[in-house]
Amino acid sequence: MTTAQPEHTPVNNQGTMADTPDGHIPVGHTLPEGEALLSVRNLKKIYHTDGGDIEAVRNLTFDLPKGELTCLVGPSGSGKTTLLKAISGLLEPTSGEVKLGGKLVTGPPKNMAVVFQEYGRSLYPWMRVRENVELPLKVAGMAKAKRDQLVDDALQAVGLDHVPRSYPWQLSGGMQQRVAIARAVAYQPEVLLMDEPFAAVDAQTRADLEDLVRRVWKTLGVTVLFVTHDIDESVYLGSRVVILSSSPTIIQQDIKIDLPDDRDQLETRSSARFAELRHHVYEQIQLAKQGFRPDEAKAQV
Amino acid sequence: MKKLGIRGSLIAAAAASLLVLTSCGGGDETPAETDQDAAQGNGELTEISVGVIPIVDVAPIYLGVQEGIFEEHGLDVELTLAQGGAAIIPAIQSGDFDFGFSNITSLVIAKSQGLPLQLVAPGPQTTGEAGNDFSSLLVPEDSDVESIEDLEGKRVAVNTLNNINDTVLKEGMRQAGGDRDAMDLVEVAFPDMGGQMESGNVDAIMAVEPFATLAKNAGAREIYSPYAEPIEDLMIAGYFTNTEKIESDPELVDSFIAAMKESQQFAEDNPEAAKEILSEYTQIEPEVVEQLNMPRFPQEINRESTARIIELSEETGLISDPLDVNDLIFEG
Amino acid sequence: MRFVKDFLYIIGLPALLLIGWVLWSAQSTSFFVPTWDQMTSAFANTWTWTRMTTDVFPSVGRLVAGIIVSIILGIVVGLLVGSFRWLRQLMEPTMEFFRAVPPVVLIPVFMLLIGIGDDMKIAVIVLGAVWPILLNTIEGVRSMDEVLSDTSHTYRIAGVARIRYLILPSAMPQIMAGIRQSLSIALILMVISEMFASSAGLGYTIIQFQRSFAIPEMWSGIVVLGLIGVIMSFIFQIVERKVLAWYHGQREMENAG
Repeated sequence: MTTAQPEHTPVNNQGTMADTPDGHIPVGHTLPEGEALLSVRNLKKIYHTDGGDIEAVRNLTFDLPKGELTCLVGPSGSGKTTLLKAISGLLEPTSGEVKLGGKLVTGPPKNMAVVFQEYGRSLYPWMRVRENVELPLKVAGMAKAKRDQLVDDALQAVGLDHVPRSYPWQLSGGMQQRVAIARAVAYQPEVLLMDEPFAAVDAQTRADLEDLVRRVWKTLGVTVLFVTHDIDESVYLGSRVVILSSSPTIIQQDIKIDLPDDRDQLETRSSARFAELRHHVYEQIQLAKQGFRPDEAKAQV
Repeated sequence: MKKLGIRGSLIAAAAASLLVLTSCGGGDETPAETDQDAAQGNGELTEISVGVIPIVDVAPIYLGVQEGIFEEHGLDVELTLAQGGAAIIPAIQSGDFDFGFSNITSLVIAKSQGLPLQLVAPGPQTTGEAGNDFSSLLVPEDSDVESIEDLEGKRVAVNTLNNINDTVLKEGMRQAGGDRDAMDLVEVAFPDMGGQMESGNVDAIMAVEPFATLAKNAGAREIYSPYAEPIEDLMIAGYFTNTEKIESDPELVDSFIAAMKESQQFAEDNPEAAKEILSEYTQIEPEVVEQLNMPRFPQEINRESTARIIELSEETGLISDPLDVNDLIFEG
Repeated sequence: MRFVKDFLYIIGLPALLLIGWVLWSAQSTSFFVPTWDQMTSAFANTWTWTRMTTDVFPSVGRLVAGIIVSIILGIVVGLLVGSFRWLRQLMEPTMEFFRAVPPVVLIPVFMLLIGIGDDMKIAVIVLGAVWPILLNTIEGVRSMDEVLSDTSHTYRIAGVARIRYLILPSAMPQIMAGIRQSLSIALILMVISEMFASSAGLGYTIIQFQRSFAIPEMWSGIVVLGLIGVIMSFIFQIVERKVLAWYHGQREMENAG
C-alpha cells in the first residue's frame, strides 16, 4: 500500500540574523545601499509615560523594494501602528531611521499616501466625495484639468464613479474606504501605506476591497506596505509577509509568498500552497503571542 | 375623553396657571402700616423709611436724625441711599419708602404722567450768589468758552437727562440769547465728569458739590451758576410722598413736615454741623468739605420757583399736558 | 396639516402670554403696567420712521458692527490660541481674568480711553460678546479628530490650506454655538452701552422713557428689543442651517445607524 506523500515545500524565510546596536537579532530582508525604495534601519520607539518607560519597538530593520506589496502582521500590541506612523513621518522614533528614496524621513514625505483603518474619521465630512479625493491635489497646486482627470480615473478605478456628489457619511463603510483609496490613488504616491484598512469592514466587502488593492497595485505599480492582523489576508494579498514579534518588537520572520501573481478569492484561498503558507504564518503568530523572543533563539527556517 | 398626552397636558397646565396668575391682583400697592395710628398716641416711635441721595442736599435730614429732632416728633427714621429721583419715585409707589427726596423736575414729570405724588417739604435752595453756589457750569481752564452762549453746538455733560439740570441749562441759554436746543447734552455720572472733560470728550460739565469743588481744584473754570442765575430763589429739590399716604395717615405726614422744617432750620443755623455730617453718608474728603459751597435750606416750599419749573418743563417739551402747581404741592 | 401644526406651535406661547398680559393689565391698577390700549397707542406713536432712523437704526448698526468684530476677533484669536499649546498656557490666566469682569464695570475706563462715541459702544459690545466665540473656537480647534489631523498631515495639507479646509470647518459646529450665545450678550450690551454718555439710540430711548415715567412707551421699547432679538435668532438659524448642513446630515445618519 503506497500513500502519496503531499509535497511539502519549505517556506522561504528571507530574514537573517544581523549585528545591530540592539544585539545579534533577526532582521528583515535588506537590499544593498540605494536599491530599496523604503529603508527602515534599527527603528526603536520608547514611550515615556507616568508609569515608566515602555519600550514598544526594540529594532525594526527591513527594506521595501520598488513595486512590492508587502504585508506586515503581528500579535496585538506588536507596534504595527507605531511602525506605520514612524514610516509616514507622523511619529518621531526614539532612535533609528527611515529613508524614502534615499532621503531621511523627518515629517510626512511628499510621495507617500496613507489609508487609515477608521475611514469615517479620515474623510472630511464637510466635503463631498469628489472634493475629498481632489483635495490633496488641489492643495499641491495642480491645474484643474489635470486634477479632474486624475480624480475621474481614481474614482473609476475603485468603482465609485456614480457617487461623486454624495457626502462620505451618506455611504456605506466599504464605499467610504474606497473613497479613501481613491484619494490615495489620485495622489499618485510612490509608496502606499495601509493601516489595517479593512479591519472595520464586513467580510464580503473586505474580499472586494482586497482585490481592489491588488488591482490598483498592479495597474499603478505603486509600492505597498499593508499592515493587518488578519493572517489569511496577509498571505492572500502580499508577495511578502513580515512577521513581527511581541513587544518589545523585532522582526521575527520575513516570508516570501510564492503564490501565483493572479490571485482569486476562491481559487487561491483553497490552494495547497496557500494553506501551507497560512499555516506557517499562523504558527509564527502563535509563538509570538506566547511571548517567544526571537532574539534569544536563532532564526527559524 | 381623548388622552392629552404630555404635550397637551403641559399646554393645558400653562394656560391654566396663566389664568390663575392674571386673576390675582397685581402686587403694586402694599397697604400702609396700620399699627402706626395706635403707636402714635402713646409716645412710641413710628418707623418710617426715607429714600435719599448721597449728596450735600440731604444734610439736614441726617442732622435731624442725629440731633433727635425726628424723635421728638415721634418718628424713627431709616435713611436709604438711592441713585436718583427716578429710582426713588417708583419705590414710593411700591411702598418700599414712605418718603423720598427728588429734584423738582422729576416730580413734575412723574406727576404729569399720572403718578399720585405730592411735594410735602422743601429741600435745598440756591444761595442766589453766582460763583458761590452749590452747582457750577465748568469748562477746562484753557477753553475758549467764556459764557453760556458760547456753548451753542458744544457738548455738555449733566449727571441725568430729563431732570432739573437740563431745564435750568436750557433756560440759562435762552436768557443769554442762544438757542436752548443747541447744546448737545449727554449723561455722565458725576464721578466721571472730570475725566471726560480732561480727555476732551465733553466741552463743559454741570457739576454739583462736591464734584464742582473737585473740578475747580483740578483747574476747571466756572462760567455760569445754573441754580443761581436763571430762576430766582430756585428750590432745586424737595421731599415727597404718595397721595394715598397723605389721605390715610395725615398725622404722620404732618409730623414729618414739622420735623423737616426744624431740621432745615437747624442746618441753616449750624453750617459747620451740616458740613460735618457729610462724612457720615458720603465719601467726601475733609479738606474738600472745607471748600464746599453749601446750599440754603429753607423752611417753606418755594411756590413760585416750582411753578416756573412747571412752565419751563412745558416749554422745553418735558411734559405734554399742563400741570397745576397746586396739585403738586401739599398744603398741609 | 403639518404646516398648520408648526405655525400653531410657533405662535402658541406668544399668543398665550399676550392674552395673559392683556387680562392682567386690564384689572391691574399699577402705574407700571399699562393696558392694551395704552400699549398699542404708545407703540404706534413712539416708533415713527424718524425715531427709527435717529435711534433704532444706529443702535442696530452698532450691534451688527459689534457682532461682526466679535466674530472675526473671536475666530482669529481662537484659532491661534487653540493651535499652539504654549500660547494657550500663556493666555489662559489673562483671558479668564478679563472674561470675569463685567463690561459694565469697565465702561468708565473705556469712556476715558476711547471716548464716548460709537467706537466706545462697539468696544463695550465686543468686550462681552467675544468670549463665547473665542472660547468655543479654542475648544473646537482642540477637539479636532486625530485621525483627520493625521490624514491631513500625510497629504501635506498645511498652513493656510490646513486652516481653511480642516481646522475651520472642523471647529465650525462649536463656533456656531458660540456665535449663538454671543448674539444675546451683544443685544444686552448694546442697551447698556447707551446708558452712559449717550444722546441717542434704542437703549438710550428706553432708559429715558423709564426715567421720565413714560411707562407705556418704555414697554413698547422693550417689545422692539425683543423683536430685534427674534429677528437676529431667525437670521442666525437660516445661516447656521446652511453652513452646518453637513454636520446635521452626519448627525442624523449617526443617530439613525
